[in-house]
Amino acid sequence: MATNASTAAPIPRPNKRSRYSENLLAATAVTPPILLLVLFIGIPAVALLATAFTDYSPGIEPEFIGWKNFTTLFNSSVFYSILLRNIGYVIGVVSLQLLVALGIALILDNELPYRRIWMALLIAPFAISPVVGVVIWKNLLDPSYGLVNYVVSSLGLPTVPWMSTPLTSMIAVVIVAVWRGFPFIAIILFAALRGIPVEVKEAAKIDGATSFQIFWHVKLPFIMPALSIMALFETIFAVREFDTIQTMTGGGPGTSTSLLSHYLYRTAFGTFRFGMGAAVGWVMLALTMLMAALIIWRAYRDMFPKNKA
Amino acid sequence: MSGNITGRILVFVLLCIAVIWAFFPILFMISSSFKPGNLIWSYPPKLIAEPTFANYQNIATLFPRFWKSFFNSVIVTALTTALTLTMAIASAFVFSRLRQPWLKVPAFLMIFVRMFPGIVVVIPLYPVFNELGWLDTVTPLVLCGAAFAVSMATLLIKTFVDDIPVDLEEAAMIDGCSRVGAFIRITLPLLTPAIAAVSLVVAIGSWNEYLFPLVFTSNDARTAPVIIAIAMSNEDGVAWGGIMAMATAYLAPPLLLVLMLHKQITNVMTMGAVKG
Amino acid sequence: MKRKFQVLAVAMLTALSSTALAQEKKLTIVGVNIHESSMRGVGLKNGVDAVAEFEKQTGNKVAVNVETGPGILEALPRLGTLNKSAEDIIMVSQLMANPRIAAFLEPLDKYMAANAIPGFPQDWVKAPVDSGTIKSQHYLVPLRCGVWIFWGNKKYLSDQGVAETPTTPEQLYEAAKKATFTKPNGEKVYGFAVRGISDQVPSGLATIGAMFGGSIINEKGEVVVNSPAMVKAAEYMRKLFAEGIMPPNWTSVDADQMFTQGRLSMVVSNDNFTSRFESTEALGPGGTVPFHVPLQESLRKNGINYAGSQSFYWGAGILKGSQNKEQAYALLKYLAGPQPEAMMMSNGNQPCRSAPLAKLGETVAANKVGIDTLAISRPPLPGNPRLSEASDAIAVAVQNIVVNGADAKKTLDTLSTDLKGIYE
Repeated sequence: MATNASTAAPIPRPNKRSRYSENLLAATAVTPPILLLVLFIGIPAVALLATAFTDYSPGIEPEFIGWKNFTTLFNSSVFYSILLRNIGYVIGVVSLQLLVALGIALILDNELPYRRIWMALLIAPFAISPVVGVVIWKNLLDPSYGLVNYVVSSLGLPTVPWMSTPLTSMIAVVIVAVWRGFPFIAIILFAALRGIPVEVKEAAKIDGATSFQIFWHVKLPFIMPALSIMALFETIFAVREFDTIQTMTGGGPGTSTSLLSHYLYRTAFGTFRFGMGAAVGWVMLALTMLMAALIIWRAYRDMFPKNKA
Repeated sequence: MSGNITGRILVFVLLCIAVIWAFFPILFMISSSFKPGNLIWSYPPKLIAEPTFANYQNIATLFPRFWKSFFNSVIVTALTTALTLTMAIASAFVFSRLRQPWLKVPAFLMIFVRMFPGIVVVIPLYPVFNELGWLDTVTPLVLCGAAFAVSMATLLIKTFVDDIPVDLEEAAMIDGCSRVGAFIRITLPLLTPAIAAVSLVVAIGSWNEYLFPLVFTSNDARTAPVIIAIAMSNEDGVAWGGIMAMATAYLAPPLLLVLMLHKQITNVMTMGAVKG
Repeated sequence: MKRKFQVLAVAMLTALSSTALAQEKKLTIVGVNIHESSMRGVGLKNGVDAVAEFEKQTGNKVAVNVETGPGILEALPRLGTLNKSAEDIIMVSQLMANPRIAAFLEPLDKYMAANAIPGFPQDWVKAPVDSGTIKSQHYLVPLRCGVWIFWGNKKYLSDQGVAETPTTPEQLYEAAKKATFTKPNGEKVYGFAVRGISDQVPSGLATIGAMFGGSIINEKGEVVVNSPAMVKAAEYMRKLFAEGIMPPNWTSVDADQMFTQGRLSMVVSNDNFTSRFESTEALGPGGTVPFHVPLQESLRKNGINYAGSQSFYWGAGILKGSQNKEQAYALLKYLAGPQPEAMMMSNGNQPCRSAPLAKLGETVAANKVGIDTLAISRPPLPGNPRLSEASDAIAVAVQNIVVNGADAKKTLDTLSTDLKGIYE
């Protein structure tokens, strides 16, 4: 079987003196990133989220209003439909991205001529400015003038009214989100696949395993830690998806493609209700935690395997 | 390499579909950058139309800030990537190799704090950076960028460190290496694919960062994505030719990076032997 | 090794930030790209620098910081709440001008008392000056003004047998229907569109509403968005959309761009777009026919046979946190003067003083229509601290009616309740 993450045995318990130096070493290494995280993310985020309990709006003295922002939010039917849509969106986009990326990483893992070029072409969507990428897609998917419908109608097939109804707008957003998101996962999974020792794969092959068996029993367990971390981060990214919505549909028609982050932006920056926006921020945070709970737990556990000394 | 013919053809067909889907929109952008502005969205859509270099020549006059911002993007990306990777490698080493019980606290912070979206930190940070005199410099871009990138980089590199047996390091330590020395000399070289892949991801993420430069810079330290976005929001009509040219120029460095780092990412084949 | 890297990184960072600090003192204007191009001529073929003279006279350097369209909305409260800002002047549009600007901007009256801007405010167009005036204090000097008018593609209209530009909503519908056609190469041309992207929808609704004599909020400040006229307007838009006269992706497409590309026969847009629409890359000189907002026959009186529409403007104000308020005011005064005004006009800017506007109307057809319309136009929504909230609610309601087929009367009734909560 694969060399799994948790089997990397820690170094045996050292003596007292070196334990002191180990503490020092660990502290030196961990302090800078933690400092950055706390100073530039933790503290400001908490400071802003605290405004959820006020009616803060720039230029007006804030007042403490308790849970009022939350009750308003939970009494609005628009909010519920956005919340549900966000959950569906995260599940859909993350699973599609992981599937596509895994497929592409597996393809790239074969001996291909000019693999370097193929890889660059496949990874390019990640390297493109998001705003420009969206503009191009918006034009490719234009219901009347876009290339996609042009090709479809030239083939004599019925065209799709992209971006014209809530459903087709949402599908367009998902297409673009997957397009922009998959290369990032593919790079990591590809690197993880390359890390599988050749002998392991060879041994499986000699045992007469099919390609699928090799994938399922050898490759998948080996890249699982990387896959679960990618799932964690993609979930975090998908819950807060903003650029694509804002530039593709602006949340419309109506609020039918709006997601929480877009709703947050509209409330906080669009309509200056920062208190209310912060309340939406809390919901986003809770949603991320809920949706990623399993992966968070896994990622956290992976950092401290059970067989620790 | 063995493998049946149908399997290989299937792989190749899938590869072509994936490449078309992934790259066609970009190809369209690149080809548009060589079209005169009024032909870019012409109907029926054409891939090539009256090719010209005019769009590139016009960048400097139409968008005088672009090349400066391009340079800023390079600096911010280089610094952010260097800072993030240095921190991430060091922490990944500690999280993977050391078992101090208190390390659970930073590990938890790494995962948890990263959950906050960037949009909630810019508002409180703005007045602070204003007081510090950091606005319109690259400093806040690098520090915020690194803060948001370091968790993922650390977790990823750690999964790769975990896969490298510790025995080699121990052997080196018995030979008189310090623990850090052993890690740097023995394990670090084996980590090249991971480091290359993660650098690529961090660098491109930083290259495309939009929110921080939008809010924290106003002129001198603006990066290219903001300049492109501004050019696209022109009330008096958008100069599509120039924008496609800028976007194409902007795509070149990340593509080159992929081509360059490809070798590092795929190099593990030979190293697999060490593991035996 | 790792330490060395860190030390190096920190050193580089410090060096970079200190170079930025060492820069010379200057006056900074925050705006969007049209302000940079009109003030400095940047990105224009024969652009002139209207600020150079000021820099020479006073020795103060001027920088124009450019934000995106949505970026400037967000920049005002961000910069306005700083005690000390590096920026001095900010451009404020009708979308941002609400009583809350008093918290972000410096009142100008005390500067004006000492050093008046000649002709201000009596020579200026009234509406923009009014919305920059809060509790009888002036906060903004309007520098760029305009109004929405109707534009037709001359060739398409005559080719499709629309001889006269429409003057009533019914004629507009008929004309738009006729002018919806498919070119021989399969390219579709839509008959008509009013901007449908969220932040433009209130102005769109108000303009279509004006054709039927309705408004979102009337002159007395009452919310009348669910009046029969407005219900008719919303249903009118839905009808155009449902019949494929307006483009199907109306809520996400840039109507102005479609018009310049020859994919729309008629559009509602700015009166200062002659040079944009008639550029050789767009419809070419003389390719457009600007016309007044149609008006229902029964509503005509005093010989005026057209409706008003939405005025829009950009005004310049001084940020509360500016460290050079005196010089900033000097720059404001300079920009409002006749010389820079003329230079900015040659860079494509449309000023807010009545006299030069009238002069423009003598030569440019669209401006003539614009001046007539401006006289009976208002901003789409009156100033209110929760202006943007109101605007957002209207956008959602109208898109729901037009695209998602929601019941017009019911939706506007709900909207009316929401707006009353904001305005009354």
